[in-house]
Parts: sequence; structure tokens; C-alpha cells
Amino acid sequence: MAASKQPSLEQLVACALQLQRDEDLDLAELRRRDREIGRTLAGDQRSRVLAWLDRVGEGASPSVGERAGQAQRWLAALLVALGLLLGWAAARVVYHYDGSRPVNVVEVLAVFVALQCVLLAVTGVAASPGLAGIRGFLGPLSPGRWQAGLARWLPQPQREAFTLALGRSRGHQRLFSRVQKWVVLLGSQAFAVAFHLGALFSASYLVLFTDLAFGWSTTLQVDAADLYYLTQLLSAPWARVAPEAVPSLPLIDATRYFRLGGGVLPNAPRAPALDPAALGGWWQFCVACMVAYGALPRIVTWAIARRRLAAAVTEAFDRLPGLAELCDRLDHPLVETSGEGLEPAVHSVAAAAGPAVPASSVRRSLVVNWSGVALADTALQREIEQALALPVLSVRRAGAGCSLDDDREVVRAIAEAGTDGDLAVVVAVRSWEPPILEFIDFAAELRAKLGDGASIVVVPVAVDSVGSVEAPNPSHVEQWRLRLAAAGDPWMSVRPLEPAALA
Amino acid sequence: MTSVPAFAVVGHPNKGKSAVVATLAHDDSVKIGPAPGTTTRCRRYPMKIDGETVYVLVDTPGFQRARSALAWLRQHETNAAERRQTLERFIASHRDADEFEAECELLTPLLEGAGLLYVVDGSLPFGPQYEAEMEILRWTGQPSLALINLIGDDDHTEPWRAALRQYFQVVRIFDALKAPFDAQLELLRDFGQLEEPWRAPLARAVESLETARTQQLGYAARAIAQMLADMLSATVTKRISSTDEPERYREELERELRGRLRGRERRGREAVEAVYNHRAVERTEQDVELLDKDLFSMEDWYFWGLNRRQLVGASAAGGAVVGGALDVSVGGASLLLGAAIGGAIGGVSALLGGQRLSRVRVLRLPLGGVLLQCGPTRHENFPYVVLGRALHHWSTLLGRTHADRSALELAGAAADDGELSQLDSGQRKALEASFRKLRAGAEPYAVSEALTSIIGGIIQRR
Repeated sequence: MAASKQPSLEQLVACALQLQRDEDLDLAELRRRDREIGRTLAGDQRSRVLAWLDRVGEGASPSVGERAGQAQRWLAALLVALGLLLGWAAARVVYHYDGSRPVNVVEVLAVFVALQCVLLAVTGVAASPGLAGIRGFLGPLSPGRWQAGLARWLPQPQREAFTLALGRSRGHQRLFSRVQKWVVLLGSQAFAVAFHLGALFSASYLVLFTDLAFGWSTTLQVDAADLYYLTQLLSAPWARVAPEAVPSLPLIDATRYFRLGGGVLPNAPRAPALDPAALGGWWQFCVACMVAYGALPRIVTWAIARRRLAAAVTEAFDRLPGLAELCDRLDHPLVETSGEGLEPAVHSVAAAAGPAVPASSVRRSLVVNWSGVALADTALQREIEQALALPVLSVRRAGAGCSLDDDREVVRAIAEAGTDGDLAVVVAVRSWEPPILEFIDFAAELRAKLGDGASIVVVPVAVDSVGSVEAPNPSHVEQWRLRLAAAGDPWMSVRPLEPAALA
Repeated sequence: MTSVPAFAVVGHPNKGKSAVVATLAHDDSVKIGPAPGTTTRCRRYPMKIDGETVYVLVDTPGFQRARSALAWLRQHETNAAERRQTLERFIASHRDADEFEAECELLTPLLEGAGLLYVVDGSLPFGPQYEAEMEILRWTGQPSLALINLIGDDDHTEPWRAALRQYFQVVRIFDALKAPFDAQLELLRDFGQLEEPWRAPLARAVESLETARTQQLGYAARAIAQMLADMLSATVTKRISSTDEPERYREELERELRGRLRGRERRGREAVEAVYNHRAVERTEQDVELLDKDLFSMEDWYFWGLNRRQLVGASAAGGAVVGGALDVSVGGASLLLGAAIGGAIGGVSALLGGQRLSRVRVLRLPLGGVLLQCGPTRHENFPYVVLGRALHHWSTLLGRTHADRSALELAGAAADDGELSQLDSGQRKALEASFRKLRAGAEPYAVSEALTSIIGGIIQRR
């Protein structure tokens, strides 16, 4: 089975930011976009997500993730340069020889062995899981942490991307904490490797191009045998392969010096067999120490940090908030049922309401039963007379159930009877049926025949299951009122028929 | 006949055509209003699986001049076999005029091959005004199904059924406002029965909708879990000077925490609603109560932002360095006691002197102060209250159709009723374990996956 793809730090940052941006997008749009991409992807989940990331980020170059990666590389290069410089300078200082006193091997051991062992131990502590508090305290000592300060000097896009990569939000600190830890540690190890390489170059340069004399001196109560024991211990890793880099007891004894006591190397005359050139023989031991206890361990920790960073990035990638939802969107068929385009605009029918009551000059009425109000003509006549207090001359039928010719005949008959001006035309309608254009046409035809000023009263009627009049639903009445008001006939009014008990 | 099944939803104005479409298309952008003529143009609602259209619903305007249109058709009819052509001529003659705009609009998809779904309101009596439009629809000769929609409380389904059977192949009762998901699928299966070639696509559509419904449960569970985890770990903090009176800020911080919780719960509700494609839901719900009597805590903070523990550690290390120097000066004869004693002295002095140190001012700036914190809510019932409310919202939403435009009434949902009363002991234990982790300070994201799984189990039982 093919190994799963490992995400890079750039991809982790880019994916985290993309998922964060997606949180603000419309879910339907997201599903559509991701499923479209998802249908073309193959491989395991991580590979599919990485391919999705490439597709989503197409056209945006360089992406935020790439800028964060650039920033990290630039900062690492800066740290390496700084390390080389400091290493070079440290070796120049430690190996400084002006003829007044020899290079002190104890200083070399202190700086390039003892201090390095302490710093390695510190690195070990900082790298240990569950020691975040100590790590926080040791933080300022770590060159990797200097990256945040150095980032201030980066161009703005890279600086912002790097800041995002290291501290996207408080909520994600824990998710990214391992990544941050190993980014810092990797930076520190790169710095340390560079420091040791710089120091080695510097030391080699001085050995090659200057004539160094080595000695050893310390205020502590240490004699040659003690130092011999220590050098034997330190030389153990290379004693077999490079015996010339292991100092001998006579050399150690002969090269001890004191600031006081009348001589730089007072024991040297007691070792006549020692070649004066051997006084420089310490250099092999010193360089071997710098390699074995400085450069090599740091190269190893750098390689470990690199591997751990890759593992932390992968782990954080797999746990990114929103990744599970993304995989759902990529993998499951997209089912859409929504309408195409926007809902067409609704015609506004709101308008000023017409008069609530017929004109006061009205003395009689003609009733039209429109579209089959379920009341007998006599019952309808009685109800209308009671409700409107107007004598009803006749009841006619029009609308549904009748032909269009019947409608026209009703209009003609009403027009003949209603030219006096004291006649109201009352049109009873089923209250629950909405006013449609067919009715509006009828009302308009009536108006055309009757002329302006004649009252037309539309009476929504509700009838219960046993044929009795009941109060119409107010929303139905309002529907009639609004629609007829929109017709723009100022002499047409709406008056619902209330049951006799309520009227 | 079109290759993709299409169904035109037709009928008299205000009988619930758009409500039927909104419910079947799960789309609450469909305008539904009491004013007749709310729908003026056809709108298509394609059901797509991965972009492939499986069937199309077409919402149409209601008949406005059915009698006049029928009169025109009868006037131009030659024989029964050519009624379809007569309809085509009708549309061709009136397409650009206003008179039969609605009739042309609604007949066009039918003549293009759509099946017809004729919608009536079964809560209102049958009347003669429907006969003209039913007759026109019969002229199309398309596969037909009549839906008796029950908008009101009265029941006139029998007269309707008797009338509709004369015109339509199948008659079904369908409450567009309350139809549960299963009833919606059943109706889609009925669509498939109208024509043999439509059976397979509609069966596929039903299957996909069922699968999508299951996925929605997972999405909803995740949205609820994330909201719950965020709410249980929500805090607000404020740094004040050591000389300032903390109590002055209590009310302000509690108000801010309440606002934060309210906002997170609202976003959680919206996320669940978006999962079910409800985008315009109006909710009436009381704000969640905090339950804790005291959510207030304070901790000293010191220069460099160190808290007391870090300060003690730093001071101990400093003491150890000084002690270590003493050890070196005596050639190690002190057996590192100097470092140990120095570390202890440094730590203890920091512990005792920290409070005083925080009051020291350098260049008028304090070296430390007090960190006030409100939240997180640690009351053991709080997570159950939040979860109970969320599940109540979810179950109410689940039974809501997209035609329902009333406000979602969530008032009165308590933690101990409804969904939570059905939890088994395993679910309770698992929930409690997640809540414990959150109370112990776990980040919300670290717990929300486990919560998603538990909540998914709870809601899938329904």
C-alpha cells in the first residue's frame, strides 16, 4: 500500500486558514464546491485533502501557507547565519593567542564541551512532553524563539503569514502547540549546528594559519592526573580511531601554566623528552571534542527535530477543526433541491382602502351571487338586507357555474336598472376564495357600464357546513380589501357579511 | 416527453402550491403569502445528485381567467384528439399579452412534458370555479396527480376526492405545512408511479434524500457538540490593578459572559438550521441561565505576564544559580547544597513577596495586578441544560417543513425533559466524561469530536 502523503508546514497553515475562511461561507455553496472537487480525487483521506487544498488555492499565488513557509525558511537562514557568525566569533575568542599566554584548554572544554552538554540537556528538557511550564521559562534562552523577534524584519506578507502560522488563535494554540514547539526547537538546532560549524571553521583556520600554543590552567584544585582522567573520559569515542587526539599525561603535566610563579609553563623543563611542537598537540583533542560534543549531537538533534516537526505537522493536520466536515463534503454525493435563481418579485397590491360604506344617497340594491355562494337567493337577500339595511331588488348569479355570456347579461341588466344613482350593486363572494382577475374583470365591466359614482359593495360571505352564515376569517376579508383597493375604484367598497347575531 | 421527469405544481391561487414546492424542495426561499398571485412566474426546483438533475419541480402561478381561457379553447377546438394542439395555439396566441399571462405560464411546462400536480385546499368546500381549470388541465393529457392540501382545520376531503377522481389519475392527501419527511418521500414515490420511465429516477431520488438525511444528523450532531464545548469553556477576563476593587467589575464581566454565551448559542442554532436548509427561521427562546452562583475568580499576575507559579519557578531558578556560584567558589565541597538552598529561598520569597511585588510601580506602570475571570460555568447541570435546549431545537426543526413560516417556539425547553430523559446510562457516563474534561480546562476542539459521537448516537435513535 502506498504511504500516505505527509503535509508540510505550509500546507498545514494553508489548510487551517482555508478551513477557517470556509466557516464564513454559505454551507450549500461549500458543499457544491467541495463535492465538485471531491469527485475527481483519489487516494487516502490525507492525500485527498492535500489535493483539495491545491485545487481550492488555485490562482492565489503565493498562498498564505507558502508565505509562512518562505518566512520560516528565511528565518532559519538568518539563524544559521547568526549561528555561523557567533560560532566563528566564539572560537576566535576562546582560541585567542597573542604569545603572552597559551590557549587555555580548560576554556575550550568549558565553552565547547561543558556548556554544550548543559545546553543539550536544556534542549532535552524543552523537547520533553508535558513540560510546557519549564519550556515557557526556558523560552527566552532558545534561539528558535528569536524567530518571532526576527520576524519583525520580514516583509509584511511573510511576517503576517508567519504570525498566523505560530498563533492563529487562542482556541487553536493547543492544536498547534506541538508544531510551534518543534518549529522553535528546529530553529534552535539549526542555529546550534551552524554555531558549531562556524566554531570548527574558525578553530581550523587558526590551527592552519597561525601557530597556537596550548596549555591549561584553572583556579580549582585540579592536578594533572585529574585532567588526564577527564581527557581519557572525553576521548573515549575516538581513542581507537584517532589516538593522536588523546592527550598524554606528560603533555598534560608539561602544559599546565599559572599566571603567577615566574613562568608560563613551569613544568615544561621537567619533561625533556617532550617535543616542543607537542605543545600544540592539544589542538587535535580540542577539535575532536568540538566535533564529538558540539557539532555531532546538534546534527543529530536537528535531524530529530526535523522528524518530530514533520510528525507534529501531520498530527495537527489530521486534527484540524473542520477537516471531518470537509471530508464529508468531499466524499458524499451532493443532493440539491433548492430553486434555480431568485424568487420572482411579488407584485405589490397594497393600496389605500376604499370607502367602508356605500354612499348615503343609496336607497336600494341589486345583489350578484358571484361564483356560487352557498345560500339560496332568498336567504342571501335576507342576509344582505339585514346587514346593509338596503332593500334588495333582485338576486342574480354570475361567475363560476355560469357562462361568460351570463356574466355579460347580468352586467347589462344591472346597468339598465342602476342609472338613477340611488342603486348599489352588492356582489356576494365566497370570502375564502381569493379575488382573481376574473372577478376584477367583472367589477371593471360593471364600473364601465354603471359609470363613476355608483356604489359597488363587495360582500365576502362565509357559510358553515349546515348552510348558516358565519363570520368570515378577517385575513380573508383583508385579502379582498387589499386586492380591490389596488384596482383603484374609489366607489367600490368591501363589507364582510356578519351573522345576524353579530351584526 | 422530457427525459428528466418534471412535475408542474398547478392550481387555483392560494391553495398551497408554493407550500407544496417549498416542502418537497426543502427550500424556505419560496415565497408563500396570503395575497393571491404571490407566484407570478414559473420557478424550477431541480433535484440534483452531484449536479445531475434527477427530477424537476415547477412552481407555477395560479389560474386567473380559467373560464375565459376554456371558452377560447372550446371556440378553437376541432376534435378531442387535437386538444393539445389547441392548447399550444392558445399559448402561441396569448404569450405576449397580459390577458392570459398566468394561464400561459402554467400551461407551458405541461406542454413541454411535465406531469401535473394539481393542488387544492381540502379544508375549504369544493366549488364550481375549479371545474374550468380542471377541464383545461385534462386537455393537456399529461400524467396527473391531485393533492388535497389541508390548510385550515375543516375537512372537505370527500367532496374534493369525488370531484378530483374524475379528472386526475391519482388523488392524495398531503398536508404541505406539516408533512413529515417520510410522507414527503412517499409522495415522491407516487410521482414515480405516474409514468413507468419516471419510476427509477424517483426511486433514486428518494434513496439519495434518505442518505442525505442521515448525513444531516451527523452535521447537526457536530454543530451541537461544537456549540456545547464552546459554551462550557467560555470565559471573559480582565486585568486590573492590585489597588483596584474587583467587585466593581463583577456585573460587567457577568454581562459580557452572558452575551458571549447567548451569541454562541444563537450561532449554534443557525448552524443546525443551515444543515437542514432552514435559512430564515425566526426563533422565540429564552436566554440560557448560567446556574452558577459565583462565576467570578481572580489571580495575581506579575511583570512579564508571569502567574504566581511561573514566578515561583523563575525565582527558584535564580536562587539556584546564585547558590551554584557559591558551590563553585568552595570547589564543590558544599555538595551543591548552595544551589538547593538558594533555589528554595528564591521560590519561597517569591511566594510570600509576590503580592507586594505586584503593587510596585516602575515609571508609574505597575509590575503586576489582578486577573479577573468570569466563567467558565462549572455548574453540573449547565451542560445538560444547554444540550437539552439544543436537542429540543433540533427535534422541533426536524419536524418543521420549509413551508412553515411561523416562529419556532422554543420557550419552555428544560434540561430534564424531552430528549435527555431518554439517555441511557452509557450515554450519560460518556457525556459526563466529556463535560468533566471541559471543566478541567480541555480545549473545546479536543472534546467536540467525542461529544459529536455521543450526540450523534442520541439523535440517531429518533
